Amino acid sequence: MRTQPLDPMALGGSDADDRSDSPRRYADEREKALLDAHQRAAGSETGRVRQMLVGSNLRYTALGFVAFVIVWYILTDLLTLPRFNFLPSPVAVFTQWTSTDPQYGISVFTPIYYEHILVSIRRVLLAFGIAVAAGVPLGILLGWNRTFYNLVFPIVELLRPIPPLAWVPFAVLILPGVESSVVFVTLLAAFFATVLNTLLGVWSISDDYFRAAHCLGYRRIDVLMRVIVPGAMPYVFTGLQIAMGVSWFSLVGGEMIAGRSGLGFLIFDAYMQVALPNIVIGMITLGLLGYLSSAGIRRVGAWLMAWQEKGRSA
Amino acid sequence: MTPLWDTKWFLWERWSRRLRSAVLWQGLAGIITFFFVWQVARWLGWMVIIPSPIELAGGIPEEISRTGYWQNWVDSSRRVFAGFAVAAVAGIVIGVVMGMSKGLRATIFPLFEVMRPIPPLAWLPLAILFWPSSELTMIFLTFIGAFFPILLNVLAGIDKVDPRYRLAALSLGSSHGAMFRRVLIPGALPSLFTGLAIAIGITWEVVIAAEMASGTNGLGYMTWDSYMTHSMIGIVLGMLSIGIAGMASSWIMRVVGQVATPWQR
Repeated sequence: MRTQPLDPMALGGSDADDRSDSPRRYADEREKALLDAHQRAAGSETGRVRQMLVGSNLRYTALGFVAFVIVWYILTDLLTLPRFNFLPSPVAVFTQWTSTDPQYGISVFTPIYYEHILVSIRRVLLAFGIAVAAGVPLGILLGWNRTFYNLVFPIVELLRPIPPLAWVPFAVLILPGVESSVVFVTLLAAFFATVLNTLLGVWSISDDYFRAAHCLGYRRIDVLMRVIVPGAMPYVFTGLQIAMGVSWFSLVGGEMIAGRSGLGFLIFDAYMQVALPNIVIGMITLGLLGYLSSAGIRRVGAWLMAWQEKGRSA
Repeated sequence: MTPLWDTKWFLWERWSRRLRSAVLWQGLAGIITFFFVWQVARWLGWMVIIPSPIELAGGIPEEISRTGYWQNWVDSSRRVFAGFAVAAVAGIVIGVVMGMSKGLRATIFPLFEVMRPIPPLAWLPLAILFWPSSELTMIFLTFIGAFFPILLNVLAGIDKVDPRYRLAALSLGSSHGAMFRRVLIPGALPSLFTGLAIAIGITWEVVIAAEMASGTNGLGYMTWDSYMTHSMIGIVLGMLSIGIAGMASSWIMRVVGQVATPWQR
């Protein structure tokens, strides 16, 4: 990426003026704001967004959740406004979800609920695994070898604009069985996200490292293992997070349109059977799983990249 | 100033440089190999179901000339742009309000945070129940898909404005209005357009799936209908059309973004 301009007015001015200002002496709002800006400039843009999103605001999230449920309750149960009375109320959803003998067959005590969850998780993990196993090496090759890039990247660009869900009919006809077509649709978007971010990651490595490696007489394999792989890692993990998000997204679409099991199917089936609370149970479960899986990737990423104390400069 | 022949010469120079570069030829070679392998695989009888590139080239014009093909474009684009426009307005307004006031942000943001991890398509059944027409259902889904990326990027853009610019504006005695117009808006615009470009891609994705699952017209439905009638050429045409539509929309967003932020070039 571009190096920071040496303009003190620019975002992320040098560290030196941070210290010579000794911002703690003037503990007023303005200096704090400046210090804040320096710290934020030190983190990447995604890092900042991420911090904003998860950070330590668990309390606020809980508050938001409570507020959300209250608004939902008021709209559906208390006021029963026109159109809102079609929606299941939080009370109905909660009683259904925790009932030992659920009216519509889905609750935390029924095995079928966990079956749907497991089917969906298995599909996402399989698709994600294939996408990463194929996408990271391809991205590294694309970033490493100019000729390979020139030859192959146009094909990637040719196929990438087609949204994964537009592949559903095609996949159903081509691939044997529903399972493989749902997995295929799920892995497509994740694959492209991984390839592109890995490629960007390789490109983001400063040329100095390559020159240094060259001077030190690294063989090509050493350059790959010691320069390219660790250097591209931060972007790869950004890519993996995006890939996980789009996997869940496409999975739901694939299961709704073509699936016969899984959470996407559960939601659509509940709609067909007019088992309204099940729709919301499915949605909440999907939201939770999506959130947990991206949190998991963040954890792994932070652990693997412990050397990056504050993150790379954007 | 510049005589005509000069511009011509310049264009020629640029084109000839492009023609002489390896990038173009290698790219072409890659794509041609791709289609060639596909064609050969078909000749060898490996792929029974997928039509070959030659068959596609022959069959697609006929499919396009069918009545209603262009109407599908109109229907899908209308849904995409309606949902996108509402999401853009809502995302920008809410994002700016949240960006300007820390208190409001702490109260509103967690509310969205709860809804964000739910994939947009999971809203489909509830949306069908809630909205009186299928048109509104699909517009709502595209709205849900586009809203969060726009909101997040507006917020990130406002956060990214260097506080020194704000302080400089304050010490030069700027009013609230001037601060907003001269500092915050130009500072947040690049990030906003990134968000818009991401969002328009997602809206196409969502509208296609919604049309497949519950629509009666549009490009997604056309693709699904071709599947029902086992018309492989129709399916591929649908995929191509959707890809082109999505690409064209993001291209429009990029151009608008470049025009709106001339200092970024």
